[in-house]
Amino acid sequence: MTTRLHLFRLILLTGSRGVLSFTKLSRANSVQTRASNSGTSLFGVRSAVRRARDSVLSRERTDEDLKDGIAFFYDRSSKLWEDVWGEHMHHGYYIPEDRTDHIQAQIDLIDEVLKWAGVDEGKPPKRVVDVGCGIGGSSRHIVRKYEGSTAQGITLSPYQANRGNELAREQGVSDKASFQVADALNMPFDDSAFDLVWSLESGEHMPDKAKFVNELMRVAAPGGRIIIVTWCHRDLERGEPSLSKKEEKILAKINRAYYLPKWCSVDDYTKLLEKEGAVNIKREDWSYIIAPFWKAVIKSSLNLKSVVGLLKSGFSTIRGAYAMLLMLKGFNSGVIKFGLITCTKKEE
Amino acid sequence: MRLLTHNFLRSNVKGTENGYPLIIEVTTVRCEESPVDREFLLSLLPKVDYPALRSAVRQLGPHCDPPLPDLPEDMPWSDEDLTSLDDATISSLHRALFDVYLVEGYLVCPDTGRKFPVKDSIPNMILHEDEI
Repeated sequence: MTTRLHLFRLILLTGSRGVLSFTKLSRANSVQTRASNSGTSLFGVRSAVRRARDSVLSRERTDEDLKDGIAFFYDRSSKLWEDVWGEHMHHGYYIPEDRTDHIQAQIDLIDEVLKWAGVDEGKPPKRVVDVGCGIGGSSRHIVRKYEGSTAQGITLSPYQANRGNELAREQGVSDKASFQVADALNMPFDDSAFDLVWSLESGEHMPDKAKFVNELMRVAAPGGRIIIVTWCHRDLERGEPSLSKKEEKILAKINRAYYLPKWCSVDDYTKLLEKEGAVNIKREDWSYIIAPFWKAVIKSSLNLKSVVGLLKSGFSTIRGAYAMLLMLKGFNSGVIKFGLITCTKKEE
Repeated sequence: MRLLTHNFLRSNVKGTENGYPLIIEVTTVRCEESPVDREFLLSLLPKVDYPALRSAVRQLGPHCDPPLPDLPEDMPWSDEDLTSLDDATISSLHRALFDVYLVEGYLVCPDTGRKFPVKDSIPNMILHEDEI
């Protein structure tokens, strides 16, 4: 490991001890009252202790805790990410491999995915849903790209929805892109409502992949297109029942940091889509195209502004930063893949 | 939350037969004029549920300053011929869809009565565990 990465590890570990405090586990915006916000109530302390124990043991979270955790994590971390990386909360497209215009690389990823999926060839999309929209970077880009289109974005994080709407106003597209707080596993939309169903790096958060795929297909219009771009683990070999213990361990640690449920493979997604009656299923592995992104993210965090921001954002964000090293390890060892899957819903 | 958004939102609480359209309970409303993009509006209209829009306008309208007038009972456009819409109608449709925001309040499921909160103009449609 390079000196820079060692330094980074040192900063993270020092920072995390400094700010680790059970009372900091509070939500920016409370949807359901579960863990009390006050560290002094017995319920709050007990729940915080349980979470800390589960963290050390890299235990999987319950779906409830996961949803809450995701909202909490993004409520806390989105601002820092945006300050350093801008409005796109996804990987960049690193062709050429050594490009350093990271924000453009992130924009290029959206365009290259749309091109790969064939969106540029057919009729341009008119009604788009952005499932797990972050602060809305994809939605805003897509409505500008395709004249006359509108996008609805959903996120579990009230901070993100708000920021998404703010940015839409600033960029003059608030009539075309709007953001709501909603659950991708129970979308508040009618069947067949959208001709493009877009999920860019949000699938990894879904605890029930079958339900997720079912919802994506439900809200897709007949003839409409679904695009899923997501982190997966490698496809299992024939006869292989599961990943190795070592591989599972890396993923379990990443899951605690990023509030992820158990991973699946691209193969699993294609099987689920087939089961739902999807047609024209296409898949691709872009791990090698996006891999330079993690080194770039780590490098970008090694400046005073980012470090200060990181320390200010609290334990969960810092843990997220540490997990970047694990992501890098995962990509390098071949267990983590960046998968693309697209399909269409049968015409009526 | 604009009425354009409201037009596409539905309640998906378990056991809901028809969670649409959501009934609007107003706490705070904000009105803000914006420029009319005629072509964009015309491209949207075929996808707009007119009765839902009309009833939403009746619920929000009185809270605006000046109050938003009711939309006509019959849909003023037919999907086959949008070009016949006059400027006054376009203007009132635009105002209804884009210029009125529910800032604080609730969206209520017409079937189950479940209230989805709206805070800072953002609807929160996340269901509780027992509603899934």
